[in-house]
Parts: sequence; structure tokens; C-alpha cells
Amino acid sequence: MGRPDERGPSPSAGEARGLEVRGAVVRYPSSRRGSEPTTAVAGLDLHVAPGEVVALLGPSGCGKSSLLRTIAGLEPLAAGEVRWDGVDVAPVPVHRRGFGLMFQDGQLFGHRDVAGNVAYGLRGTPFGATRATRAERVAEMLELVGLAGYGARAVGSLSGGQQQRVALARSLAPAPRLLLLDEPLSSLDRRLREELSVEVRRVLAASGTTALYVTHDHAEAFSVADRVGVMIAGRLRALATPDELAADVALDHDVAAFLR
Amino acid sequence: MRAGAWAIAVALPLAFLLAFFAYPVAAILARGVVTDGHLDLGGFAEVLADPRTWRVVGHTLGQAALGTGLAVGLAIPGAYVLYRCTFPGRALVRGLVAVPFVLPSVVVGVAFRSLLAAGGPLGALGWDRSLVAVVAALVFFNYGLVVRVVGSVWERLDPRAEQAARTLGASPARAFATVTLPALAPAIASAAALVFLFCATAFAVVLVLGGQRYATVEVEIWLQTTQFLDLRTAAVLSVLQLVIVAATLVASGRLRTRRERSLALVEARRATAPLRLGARACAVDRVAVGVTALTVAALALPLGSMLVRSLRQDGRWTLEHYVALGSTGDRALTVTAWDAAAISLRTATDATVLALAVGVVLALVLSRRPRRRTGRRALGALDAAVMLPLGVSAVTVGFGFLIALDRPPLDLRSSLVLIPIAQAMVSIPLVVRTVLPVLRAIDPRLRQAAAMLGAGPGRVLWTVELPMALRSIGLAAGFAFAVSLGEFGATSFLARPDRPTLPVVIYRLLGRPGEGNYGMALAASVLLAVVVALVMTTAERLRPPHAGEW
Repeated sequence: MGRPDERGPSPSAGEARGLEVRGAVVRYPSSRRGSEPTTAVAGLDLHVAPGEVVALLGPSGCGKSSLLRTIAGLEPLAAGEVRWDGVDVAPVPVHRRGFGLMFQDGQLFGHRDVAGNVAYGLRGTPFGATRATRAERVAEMLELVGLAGYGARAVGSLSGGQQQRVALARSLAPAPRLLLLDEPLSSLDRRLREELSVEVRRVLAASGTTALYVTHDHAEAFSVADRVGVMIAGRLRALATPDELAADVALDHDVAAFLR
Repeated sequence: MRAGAWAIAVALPLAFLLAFFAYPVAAILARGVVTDGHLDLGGFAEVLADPRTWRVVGHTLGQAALGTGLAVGLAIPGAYVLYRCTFPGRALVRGLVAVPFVLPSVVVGVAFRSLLAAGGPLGALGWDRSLVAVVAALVFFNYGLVVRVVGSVWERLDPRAEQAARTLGASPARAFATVTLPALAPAIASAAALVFLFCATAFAVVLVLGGQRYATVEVEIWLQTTQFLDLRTAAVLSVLQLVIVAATLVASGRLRTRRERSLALVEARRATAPLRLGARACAVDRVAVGVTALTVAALALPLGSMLVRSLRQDGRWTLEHYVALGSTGDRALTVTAWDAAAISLRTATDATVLALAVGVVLALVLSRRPRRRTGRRALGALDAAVMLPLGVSAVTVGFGFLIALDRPPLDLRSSLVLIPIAQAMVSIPLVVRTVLPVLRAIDPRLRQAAAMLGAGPGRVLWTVELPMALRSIGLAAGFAFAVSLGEFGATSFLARPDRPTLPVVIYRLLGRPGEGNYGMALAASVLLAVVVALVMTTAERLRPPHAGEW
């Protein structure tokens, strides 16, 4: 699924479809004059095929969130490129990329009710054409995340798990061509996290969404993703299916140590 | 918004500030140092050699220091009782101590004189037109401000640090002095700097209560301009005033930066405790409650006295003075007090619209966080520039308008827009300082979340930031309206005789002989105080967390 009106031109011969990251470098400027800038992502290649869910797993500070924010367009690339269906997205501003991002702590709009949050991204998409199509899409999304009938509730009155479900529904509603999830469940307790990660997997599969999922929790990554990448110190050190990773085939020392 | 839109958002308010603040103030500066087209510092030498000048500067600094010291000393127990303790009726008392800060200074002058002048309840003390009266009025004005600034930090200060000190053997007094006071010090210092600024630039209250004997620089500028017609001396004094104000602003800026260090803060309900006054209450609590009760009673005294005397005539109760508001007094006015009230409302509305338009745009610009260092520097400079009108006295602004805007390129002297512009100038810093902290407190990721959902910068502004800042904008509108209604310093320079505002009318009535005129001034003051208090209590309901420091 994708926004038909925002899809780039068809890929030229030999270009891969879906998300392609090549040699990405992300640096943060130093806060003080004279000190070195911090390199968060140090030359990373990654391909996510349409409809695929890839999880990036890594210790905190490994640069996985920076990579996600850069793909979203919230941080500039210092070197390398990010392409969608073969088209460089660097000149496209955040709000025109057609990518969605789900934040760790939801970032729901407190001054809008649940339905108002879910409907926010529908403007400019086919779903936002009329009041009726909008209401229908909101109802559909709330149904998908198991919150049917919650539309008129204030977001402040929801539990942490419910808020994250609303955030998921909000990110999915405009049918982004790529959904980026930044530790979406890590603010929840363990039991809820296990329950919701299965749910997220189901929802992503049901909507056929291409997704890049960042987490530091092994179980979560393995239950959500088609393929799992391991990121250490700004580099992608392994990328394989959960079964392959679990089988411990030809993993280097650092990755094996992290996965153990 | 694109770069172009931001450029306009910076350029328009900046042009407004340049034309109606920097240009008039620069014109004053030029008046003091330029004679016949060349530089002449003779005016400075002359004025600075005059002992009268130094007496005035001494009064300004001395009164401001006394007023600030007393206000802070009384407000610390007040902040403890009103913010750290809970008791029935707390909201009411908090509301009461907040009122004086927004009362028009002319009204405060009238209220104190009704109390202290011969024939008033405290007339026998002989405090009328004395230093005591001036300082008491300065404390009256600023007590509530210090209570709020200090109290809003105190009510969220983690009590466990003080509890830890107690378990280590510290007495309540020592725990307060060694743990709590250092944590509050930055807030106290920042509030003190602000109060010092307000005291040092106080005008109408000193004019009404102290007269020429206790003239501050601000009053002296007014006297030189309107009574002695010595514009050169007034210009030099304005420069002197700018120096005092700039020094205070620099000091308060330093203190504000220091205040932004991190404190262990918790939710207010976890840090407050019910007030206990029974046999088991500790002595510190009793003293704090006693001091606060006396202070609150003292705050109510002048207002009560003004109200009572506005209702009395020849030893009986009457509404005569209020009926007289429909007249022009005893050969005192050119329009009725009601007409002046209508003019005041109209002018204050225009001023509020102007101040909000300029102030909100400025706050939006200042709330951005540019990636580049040069951008951050430029914003820092703009931030400081916006605060200047707060420090520069209203009299200087009014005087500047008078001498700078009466000839091309800007000939607005006879124009009716001049007073709203001058009043807006005075309230723009208040608007910016009320709205900006709220905009800055919006999590940047909330804007990013909206952008990820396809919202362009314009839509993010309209659907995320403005709705979240709406309450603070409402509060700022209340402040701007109340300040404009009571503004006297600049307005007294600019108001045409046939179109006076209510504060100008009150001042004129006070200057005319006759029991009737005085009673009418009292009634008009009560009217103005009621309107301003209504505006502010309505606006205060909108106060969001983090909004500003007043």
C-alpha cells in the first residue's frame, strides 16, 4: 500500500524497489566550539523490500534512532543517500515523503480527541476527501488496533498501552509507503510489551505496511520482524531472518555477545 | 513556513520596534548630545554637575532598594504559606495578593493617599507625602509578583532533600537555611531583579505619593518636560535612566540564566502539606503565617479605604461621587469620566490587538531552535532587544514619541493611533514573556509527529503550536489589556486634552481643588480598579503551566 499520488516515478532498470540506504553517515554538531562532532551512524547500507518488516536491534546509543530520524528527514545526512523505489528523497521535505514515524512516547496531540489524532494525517490523502471517508478510515483504524468506539475519548484519559495503540493507528491511517517505529513499546511494562508486539505484527501484516522497527528488546524484534538487523556503534553488523540469527550461523564476536 | 515567510515574520515586528521604540529613544539621545548639528556633551556636564540630579538618582536607587528588600523579605514567608501549604480559602488569598500588581499606578496612588492623607484612617501618622508612603506603595505593587515567582518553584521543590537534612540532625531553621534557601536563591534573585526594575522606573505612584520631594529619575524627566520645558535636561536624564535600566537588565539576565539550572522538582501535590497551627505546629510555621496574615491585611487596607471614602460625603454614606462620574467635575475636565472610560476601553482594545499581533509573532520567531550557531546568536540578540521596552520607562517612550514622531518621516503627533502604539510598546515584552515559555515547552517531537503525518510547517503552526499556546495568548491578552487600561506614563504625554483616558482624568481631578473633584477621583479609581481586576481574574483562569514569570 502507498499513497498513489505521492509515489515517485517508476524505478529505472536495475534499481531496487522499497527503501534503500547507501553509505549513510549521520553526525551531530558539537555543542561546544572546538570539540569534535559525534558520529551516530557511520556508513550504513540497508534494503527493505515492499511489504517487509525489518527490525533494527542494538544497544542504546548505537545510532539506530538517529538512522530512523534521518530516513524520516528529521536529521540531515552527512554523507550517503536514502532512496525510495530508486528515487533520492534528500530534497523532499519531511511532510511530503509519505513516510510515517511512531515515537517511543506516542507524542499524541493532547488538545485533540482520539479520533482527531487518528484523522490528523488524512488531509491530502484519498481518505481525507470527505467527512464520511475520513470518519470511515478513523473507525477502520481504531478497529484494527482494538480500540473501536474510543474516538471521542480524550487522549489523556487512556492508559499507556491504549495511547500507543492510538499512536499506531494514527501513523497507519494515511497509509504511509514506509512506517518507521522508534522503540514504540519500550515505555510499557514487560507483559503489555509482549502482548502488543504480537498485535503490532498482526496489524502491520494486515495492512501490508513496509516497516522499519527499532528496538533494544530481542524478543520484541524477533516476534515482529521478517528480518532482524543488529546495529553496533553506528554500523549494521548483521542482517538475517530471526531463525538464521537464532541458529548462530557465522556471527561475529560482538554480535554474538550482544545477542547472547 | 518557508524561509521567506520567516523573514517577513522577523522583519515586520522588528520594523515596528525600530520605528516606535528605537527611533524615538534614539531621538532623545540625540537631543541630549547634539546641538546645532554637532556633538556637544555640555548638556551632560551641566546636568551631571547639578546636585539635584544626584539627589534624584539617589532617591531612585534608594527607594528601589528599600522597596525590593521589603517586598522580598515579606514575600518569602508568603510564598511558603500560599504555595507550600494547603488550607481552605488558599485560592482566594492567592487571588487577592495577585491583584495589586496589575492595578493602575494612579489608582494605587489614590488608594494610599485616601489612607494616609489628613482625614484618612491613618492620617494621624503623618506619612502623607513621605518616603514611607512611596516605599509602602512599591511593596504593595510587587509583593504578589515575588510570592508567585518564588512560590511556583517552591511548591514543586522535592521535600525529601530537606527531610534528609532533618534526619541528619538539622533543626527546621538550619534545614531551611542550608537546603531550601540555596535551591530557591536563583528564583529569589531573579524576582528581586525584576522588582528592582519595576521600582526604579515607577512613575505615577511616586508622582502622586511623593511629589517633587521624593522625585525619581522618571518623575524628574516628567517634571523637566512638562513643568520646566527643559527638554535638554530631560534628554540627559533619560540617558541616565537607560543606563540604570540596562545595568539591571544585564544583572537579571545573568540571574535568569543561572536560575535555569536543574532543580529536583516534583508534582506540586507531592510537595505540599496541609497547614497546621495547633499546639504541635512548629514555631517557624507560626511566624510565617503571622507575617503573611499581617501583610495580606495591609494589602487590603488602602483598597478598602479608597472604596469606603468613595462612598462617603460629609459623614454619611452616599453614591454622589459615582453619580458625578457623568459630569465634568468642578471645572476640572473637558469630558465626563464616563466618556474617558469609553476612550480608555477603545484605546486599550486597539493597543491589545497591536501588542498581541507583534508579541505573538515575536514569540513564535524566538521559540525556533536554529541548527546553526549564527542563527542561535541572532535569536539571542533579538530576545534581549525585545525586553528593552520593559526596562525603558514609559515616560521616556512617551517623551520620545513627542519629539520624534511630530515631523516627517513619521508625523503622527495628532494621530489617534499614537496612544495605542505607545501602550502596545509597554505591553509587548509582557506578551512575549508570557507566550514564549509555553511555546518553548512544546516537545519538538510533537511538531515532528505532525510533519510525519504530512503536515507542512504552516499547518503544524496552526494545528499544533497555536492551539497549545492559546491559553497563554489569552492570558497575555488580559495582561496587555489591563496594562493598557492603566497606562499613565506615556499616555499622559500623548493624550489630547479633549480625549483623555481614565487614568489621565483621575490625575487631573486630583490636581484640582474641591471635595467633589477628590470624591470623583476616588470613584473613578474604584471603577478602574474593578474593571482591571475583572479582566485579570478572567485572564488568570487561562494561566497554563510554565506561562511567564509574572
